[in-house]
Amino acid sequence: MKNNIRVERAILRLTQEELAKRVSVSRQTINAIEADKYVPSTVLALKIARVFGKPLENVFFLEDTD
Amino acid sequence: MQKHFLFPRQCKWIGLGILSIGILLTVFNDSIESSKIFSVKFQNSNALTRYLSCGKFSMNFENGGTVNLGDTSNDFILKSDGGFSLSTPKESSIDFTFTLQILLIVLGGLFVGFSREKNEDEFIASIRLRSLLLAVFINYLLIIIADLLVYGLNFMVVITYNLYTMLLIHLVIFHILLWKNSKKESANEE
Repeated sequence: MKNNIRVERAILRLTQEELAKRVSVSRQTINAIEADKYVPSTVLALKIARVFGKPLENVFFLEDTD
Repeated sequence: MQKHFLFPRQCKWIGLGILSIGILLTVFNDSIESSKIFSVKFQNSNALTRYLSCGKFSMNFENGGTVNLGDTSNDFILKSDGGFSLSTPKESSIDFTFTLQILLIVLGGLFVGFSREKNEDEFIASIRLRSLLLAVFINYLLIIIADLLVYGLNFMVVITYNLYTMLLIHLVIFHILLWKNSKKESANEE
């Protein structure tokens, strides 16, 4: 699964730390998601999409291998 | 979201202390031939003391051959034909060192491995699960190797250590993974 959290974050001028705080996880987690090292749970994915004010599909994308 | 039970954060440091004492005790105890650090002497041995010294039996297996338990003249003696003989002891001495070792290492290990992290979230929970899975694999790989290579009474030693190897392997892997992730994080910082 791919995501464009880094881009969306840049648009809102949020740091990893600030985004992490808003969705109440650690900065490590946001970093791991951005690096495609960790697939977040549905709950966390929905929370992140809500911070960006966009539907889930605009933030997270399925890959061919998924 | 589904929350799993974990010990409170402070338990981690308490656990680290308990675990260190347990490991030190094990190393210290193993390095001294027939040491009896925490042995307790009983007069007029009864069913309870006989039961307790019976528990000590597995521990002294590593001496091999004839196994003598407690203080000389009493308790069980493993005869050459493999049978047990039981004599009624007038006075018996029971070594609780081994009991204490297991208690300290297991409790400490559980506290260190299963306390809340500073930023406990689903990512850390996934790291914990991954490390547990790895620990199970590595532990049983070690058992298979030991099973093929170690025979006789020495295998009892393997089984004894196996009481907490899985826990200790988990601790090591979990903290390596945590450390690697925090390192990567600072490298990727913008």
